[in-house]
Amino acid sequence: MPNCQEIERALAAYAEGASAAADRHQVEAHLQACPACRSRVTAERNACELLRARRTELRGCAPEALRRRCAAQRAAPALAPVPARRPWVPLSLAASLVFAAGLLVMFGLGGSVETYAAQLAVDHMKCFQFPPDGNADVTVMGEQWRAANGWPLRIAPSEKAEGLELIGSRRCGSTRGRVAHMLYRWRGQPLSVYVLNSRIKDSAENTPNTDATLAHDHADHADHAEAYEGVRKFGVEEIIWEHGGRTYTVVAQAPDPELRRVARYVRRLTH
Amino acid sequence: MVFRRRPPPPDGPAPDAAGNSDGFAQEALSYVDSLYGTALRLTRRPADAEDLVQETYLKAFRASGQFERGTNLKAWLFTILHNSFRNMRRHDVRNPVEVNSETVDGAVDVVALDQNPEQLLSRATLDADLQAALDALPDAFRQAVWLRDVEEFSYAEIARMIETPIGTVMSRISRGRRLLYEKLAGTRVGAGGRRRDVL
Repeated sequence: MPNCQEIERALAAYAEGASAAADRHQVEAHLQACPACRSRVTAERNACELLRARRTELRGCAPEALRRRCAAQRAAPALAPVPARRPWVPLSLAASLVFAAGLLVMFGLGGSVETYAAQLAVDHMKCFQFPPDGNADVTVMGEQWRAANGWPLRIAPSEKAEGLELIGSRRCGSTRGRVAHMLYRWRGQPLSVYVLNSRIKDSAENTPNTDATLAHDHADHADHAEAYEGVRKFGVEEIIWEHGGRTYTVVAQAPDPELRRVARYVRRLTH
Repeated sequence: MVFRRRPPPPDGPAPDAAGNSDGFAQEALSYVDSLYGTALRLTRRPADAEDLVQETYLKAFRASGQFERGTNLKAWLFTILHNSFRNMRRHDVRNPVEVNSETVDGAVDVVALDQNPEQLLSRATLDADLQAALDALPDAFRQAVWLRDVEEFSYAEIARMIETPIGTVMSRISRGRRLLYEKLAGTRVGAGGRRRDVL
């Protein structure tokens, strides 16, 4: 006759009443001789019945906004050879994602501007496939962000003169939610603004690459051109700067000088 | 890895950008509550759970050509969810992977067997207690019990999903249920002094 340890694997199915006949006879023979296992089966059966009776309540409901975002992802292109339908996404998107995922493994949130920029470029490309819904009221969005994440966020509103239209905001998935991501449409193209609630070097989990970290000394001079770092990653341009212990980034597929103009607008409205 | 796009059925509904038919997408989206509930149990953070579910659907729609029609779509989605979760954990130093099988080795002596499920169900606070008892289970046991008793997957499907031998899955379900019941019974005894914490 099997001992208690050997019979354990058969108990789950037995407690559900789902055992095959041969297994059932074997378990019952053991239970007749083993009070401890009889207690175990009783407890297991009770827990099983309880969970199944409360299945619906335990499962709960997904938030409505999540439901909509998931449905919106039907529009995502297949992984098979992708037709070049989206002009702002480089053809090497898949390769870029793989490369950036590798960087993520190596550096966590990143020890350098290069790594951080790579993560944001990937997120920029991913997020515009399913833009956030809801209103684009910067005050409401800022309050929601503070309530959910514990730190205040000022968001630059739409600006006709700049050709900038705010679509919404969300947590940046590629950095495990540690970065706020504001999505804009700018001259008909996607434009992202990211805010990290620390300096890049402070958030690094490994020894930072001091050669590549930003020149913080310039950061407090609001209009000093050298305060902005220009980085090109995976076909998009990024302007990165730090202010007040935070790191700001503007990302779009645009020439560097034009993007710096947007960066200055964002800086004026958010600092 | 080779991704193949399957042609849509001749008279079927129009596919979307990834070639998903309406039927595939509708069925896939009908599991969002299950996926979210499971993601919450895995991540324990609503925001992370939402990211995980959204990532699951993105991958599912993009790789829909890999899904074999006629097989269990829900199990396929859950496999993507668990794979994504494992990747997330690997990348997140805040959450080292825990598999704590030894914790319950000594937890087989049940405290109280004098209440059946109906009696437990009559308690107004049952759902909160049940949620708390589930949350207190070691991750590996909670995951196995949840997938079996709440999401109704077969042992074989769970084994594939969490990349664990089927015998280990059965053992975890068995132990997880017993530990859960013990926690509930202990909660019932409460301040009366008979409670025995096993973790």
